[in-house]
Amino acid sequence: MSRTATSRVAADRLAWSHLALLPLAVLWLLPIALLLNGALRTSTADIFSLSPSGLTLDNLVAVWRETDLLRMFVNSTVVTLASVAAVVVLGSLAGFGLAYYRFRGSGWCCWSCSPASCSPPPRSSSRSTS
Amino acid sequence: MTAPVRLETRADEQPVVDTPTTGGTRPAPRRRRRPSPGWLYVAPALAVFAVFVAYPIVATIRSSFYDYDGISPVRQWVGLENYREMLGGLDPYFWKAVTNTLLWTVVTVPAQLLIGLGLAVLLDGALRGRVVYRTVFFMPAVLSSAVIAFAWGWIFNPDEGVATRVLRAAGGSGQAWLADPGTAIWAAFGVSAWRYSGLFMLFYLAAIQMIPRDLYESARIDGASWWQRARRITVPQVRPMTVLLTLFGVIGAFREFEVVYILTRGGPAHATDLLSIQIFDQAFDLSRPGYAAAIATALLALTAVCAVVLLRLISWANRSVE
Repeated sequence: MSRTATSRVAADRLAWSHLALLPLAVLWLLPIALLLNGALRTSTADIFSLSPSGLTLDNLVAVWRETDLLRMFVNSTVVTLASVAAVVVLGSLAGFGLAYYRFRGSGWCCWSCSPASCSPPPRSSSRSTS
Repeated sequence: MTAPVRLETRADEQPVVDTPTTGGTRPAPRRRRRPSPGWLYVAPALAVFAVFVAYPIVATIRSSFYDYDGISPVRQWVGLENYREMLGGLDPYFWKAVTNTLLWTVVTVPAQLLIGLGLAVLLDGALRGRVVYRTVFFMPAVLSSAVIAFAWGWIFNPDEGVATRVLRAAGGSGQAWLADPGTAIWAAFGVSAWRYSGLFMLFYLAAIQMIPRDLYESARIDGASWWQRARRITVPQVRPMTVLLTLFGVIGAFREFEVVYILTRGGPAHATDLLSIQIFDQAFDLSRPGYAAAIATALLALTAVCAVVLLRLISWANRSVE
């Protein structure tokens, strides 16, 4: 992309920003890393251990054996697919209706149903004059 | 711009208008007799909105006038008694929760905005590894609340948690982060900033990439430094996004519940009590759904006021950029 090319000149000057970004990235990854670490420890006393010894996959095996993990994944997937589909269908219909037709109560619909997504001012001049 | 025009011409080509579907597409002035076809598009969403948003709100407001335990069918009409108890100083925890909720909002939203914008500015350029950075910072946004609360609960563990170990290594003593009323809410602030800053960064990145490149070019020719370009071009140009994200952030802050509830349950001694937690406690732990509904109505009013103010700001910010 051209914007990458134009700003490549500034790349060297931007290198110092690693100084700020690297520690932040570590902080951002820390909880996730600890979660993984904890998942690989068996006893509660061991959860906080950071030593590479004593890591085991027993928890993952136990989760797979003792809970109906597959069922939960299926449930989550079904809920996600259904709600995303509903949101996309209903939202795009309503969005089209509100964007292309100006009618009594359309402003009210914008404000009450989805105030944030109507961030461009609902009464744009170009539309209402056409 | 071309699409509405096409709609108008199509309406002209069909002079026989007998259904409400095409009735409103005539180039008639604002006031029309027939219901606009816009309603047909909006109706499905409106129906869902009515059932899942409007009705619960009305039902909540209605139950706030009753005193009942949520189990027996007996409901006693008490009028404004719940509101009197809530606002009249009879419930000190309510005001504690209001203070905490407002504090939560004024601390976490600016923190998320600042970190998000900072990250976006740093990661907009051709920095090596920027895709990795973006992914890392965005990661918390896709985690579920329970997972986040779990992980941070470990970090803040008073004996072995990472935060405690770091403090000890720095020469401090053990710290019961979540059990100390002085630190608990700040620990929760940190979790919130960690969670949402990456999301804000993503929105800001999108906004920054909408800024015309020639603004930066001419500024560079004029000798503007990197900081001046960020300060004088980027910040004003992304102002509509800032206001929009403030709206998102404020609404999100008012609704914040799961992470704080799992981390502290509003404790210790109500130090991290939020209005959302009060609502839950009153409704389910103390079996006072009527009173909980009154708090919920107060929270709703607070949210509505903030949303209206911020929406006005959004149109102002949009105008200021054009």
